[in-house]
Amino acid sequence: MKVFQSAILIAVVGILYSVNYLLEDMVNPYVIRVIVNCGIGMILAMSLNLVNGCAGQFSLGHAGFMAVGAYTSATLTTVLALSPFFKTDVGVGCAIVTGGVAAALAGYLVGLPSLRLKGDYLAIVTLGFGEIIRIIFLNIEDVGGARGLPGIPPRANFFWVYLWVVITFMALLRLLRSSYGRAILSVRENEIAAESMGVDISKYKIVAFVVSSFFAGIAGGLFAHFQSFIDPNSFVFNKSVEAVIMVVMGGMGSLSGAIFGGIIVTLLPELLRVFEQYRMVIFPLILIILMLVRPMGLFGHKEIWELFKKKASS
Amino acid sequence: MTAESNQILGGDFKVDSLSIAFGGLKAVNQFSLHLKPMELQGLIGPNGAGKTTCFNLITGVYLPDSGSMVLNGKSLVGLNPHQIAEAGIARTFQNIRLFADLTVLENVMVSYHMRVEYGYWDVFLRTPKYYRIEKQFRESASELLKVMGLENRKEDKAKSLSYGDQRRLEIARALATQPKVLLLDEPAAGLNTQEKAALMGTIADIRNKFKTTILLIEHDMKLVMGICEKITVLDHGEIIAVGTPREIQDNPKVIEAYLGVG
Amino acid sequence: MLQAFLQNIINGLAQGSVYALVALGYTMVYGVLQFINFAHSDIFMLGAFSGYYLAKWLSPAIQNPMLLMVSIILGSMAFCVAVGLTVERIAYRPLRGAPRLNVLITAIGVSLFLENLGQIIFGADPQVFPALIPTRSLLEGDGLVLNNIQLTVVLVSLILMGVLHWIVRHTKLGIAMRAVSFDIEVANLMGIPTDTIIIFTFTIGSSLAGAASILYGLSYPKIEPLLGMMIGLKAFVAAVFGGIGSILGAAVGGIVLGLAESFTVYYISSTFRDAIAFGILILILLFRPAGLFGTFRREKV
Repeated sequence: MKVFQSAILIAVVGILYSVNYLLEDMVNPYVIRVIVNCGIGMILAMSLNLVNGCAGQFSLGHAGFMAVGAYTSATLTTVLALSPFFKTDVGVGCAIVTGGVAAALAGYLVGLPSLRLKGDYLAIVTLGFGEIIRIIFLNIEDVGGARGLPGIPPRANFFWVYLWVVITFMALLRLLRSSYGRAILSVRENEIAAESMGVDISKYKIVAFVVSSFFAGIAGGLFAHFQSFIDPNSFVFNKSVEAVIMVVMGGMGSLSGAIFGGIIVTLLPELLRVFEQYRMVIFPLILIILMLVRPMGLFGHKEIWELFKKKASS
Repeated sequence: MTAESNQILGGDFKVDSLSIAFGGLKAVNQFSLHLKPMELQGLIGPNGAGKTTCFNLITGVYLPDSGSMVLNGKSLVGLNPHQIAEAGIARTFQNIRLFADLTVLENVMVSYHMRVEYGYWDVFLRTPKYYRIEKQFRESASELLKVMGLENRKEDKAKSLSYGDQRRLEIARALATQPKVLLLDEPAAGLNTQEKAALMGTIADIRNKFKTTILLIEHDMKLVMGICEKITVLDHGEIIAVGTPREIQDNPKVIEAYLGVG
Repeated sequence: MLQAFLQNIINGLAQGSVYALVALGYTMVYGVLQFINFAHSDIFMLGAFSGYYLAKWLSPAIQNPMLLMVSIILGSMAFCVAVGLTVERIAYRPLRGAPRLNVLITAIGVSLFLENLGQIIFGADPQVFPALIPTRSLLEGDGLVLNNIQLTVVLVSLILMGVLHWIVRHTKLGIAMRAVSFDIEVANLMGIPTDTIIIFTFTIGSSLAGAASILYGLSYPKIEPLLGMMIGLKAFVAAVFGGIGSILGAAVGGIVLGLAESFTVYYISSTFRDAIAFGILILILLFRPAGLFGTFRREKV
């Protein structure tokens, strides 16, 4: 088992590395940019899915956690870069993980009110936290304030971003297929029953928030080290809404659905480019229509592969 | 795991003068009860008598205004619902509260969570420990479902079960917490006469098989007469009678409460 | 010292009464349908733009500035009602009885749609809202300023809130609305036409947003398609602060928020102006989730 797992891991790394090599050689930078953004979108969507889809909470402040990850990691590799180490791949990797940890801490703080609040109230409070986080960065002159933070070493490429996509996917899938994951899902399904079966619902709401914000922080760090420039405007409310749309589109609670949503929501504006300015109107319209005709999202709670299984058996 | 649960004898549970009022209205007043190990008692009363409120008080959903609860020497007042479940009290719900979108097997496995031995790293790295314990959980859940006659619905979503099966799954899920005291809230509600009789048989079996103390809420007086050793009758939030089925049957106060003769 | 304090109170009251009017729309819809009508903020924005165009078209025809202002306010209220009812009919009504999350997401969708549509129609650049009435100082001394615009804003808001209070307390529709917000199902069983009441609620809420948008345009003559977002969020905070569903609460919440902001800008920093609202929100939800005048319902087990 162990050998098998390691072999797969090495294979995945190898494949990603070669694809990265091929991409940089053969495809134009615009396409690479879109592909990498899709990857960041997938991480965002999968992580938000844990809170909004699996734990049944409603966070509207995901951009805030992304901001914490982005600013923490970027500060480490620019303003605070103590040695050249922080400009290397490994150094940047460490900085990005640190950003994830910082975001997880922020997630813990934001998760606390979720213990008392539900639905719309929670949505608006997380929204508030997201905005407060952004306003705080806006006011820290050491990280550029409103001017933004330039000169971040652009170390995040296709390889690193998609390696994290794989890590995020595996980690969340394994979490959900465990006793801890079942505890999180039971909170979504029925809080009162979950408590009565011995699930500490407060604890698992927080766990969902912390794990989710860790990966949002990672997405932020990757974003910063791909763009090599961030400013508070990169993390406005609309970014959080975008993440929610990704989750909703794919189906609340479906990990593969979130990946799908992450791709669609990143690609759609690019594909709708022919419609010029109207694309920003078409996009919310799609969302409204989706809610009216397919309220559970495209895949509901199911994973994409389960849809095929169902067909085969019946 | 099952071997272990067989050794636990049902809990000794003493409830003394629990009271709660909602906005001045006394929903439950001075509720007392003593469940001896392995006893099967009934709690009956007309609609709105406060039976479910008693369960909510015992399981920590509501905090009582006064009174005490002691399970095997340990006080339970003021604990959270999940702590009370850990202490050994499990319940079913009158208005079914299953994890509708999870499978039947997962519904039961949620109850094992409080004794999970692997940590997060075992989960993320899928260590042998993870596989071993998950396998144990799956096997004992399957066993439990077999007892409740649900073994061939394991992979179905709970919401796809028939009403009667959902009630059985509620019981299976509560049993999976390995309770010392099991509280059943109108488990026969909505079933037909035949199903009701069968369920009452199952409940009597459960007590012996799982060595647990049972408190059963029932609206229909006749149903509990056959299987309970002792019955407490509640009306307007107060206990109006306690005794053996026979004593209860002939108690004029009980007849009055049920027939509404004023 | 004292002047600055008084000045902040004047500014806060003027700003706060705009919040209060918008907050009323949130609180009434929430009371009846239990969801945050995110599009409400964009209805406010559309109100401001309709006022902008109305002023362009009407100012050659109507010479009297008072009459001009009143007709613009009424026109803008009518326009907002039209938009509000359209949104309710097309997007919200089909979702009646759907999970709350879906309604919430739809509301966000409608809000984004209106914002982006606004950007296409009006352009992303800010427009200058015409000065309908010339600014005149009513009181000046030691740096303390109270002008006729501030006074108009506060007075018009007070009148509208008075009318609303009367409608809700003393008309048949108003009483029915309170019944629906108490329990929509029971109200329905009692023969109250809930759809009519919901339309009525959206009508009042949208018309107040329309009036508020003109008052806003008078005091901050720069309008742009994303203008509703922040004001909407803050008005919602005001509604939660006062206790969602409570009309008095929305009014008080709006004023308190306006004051808090104006003091923050003066004593701390203008960049924290937007953060204070959310800070208040988080505190109130942690310590008194029902708000000042609200009641919390608990789930029946």
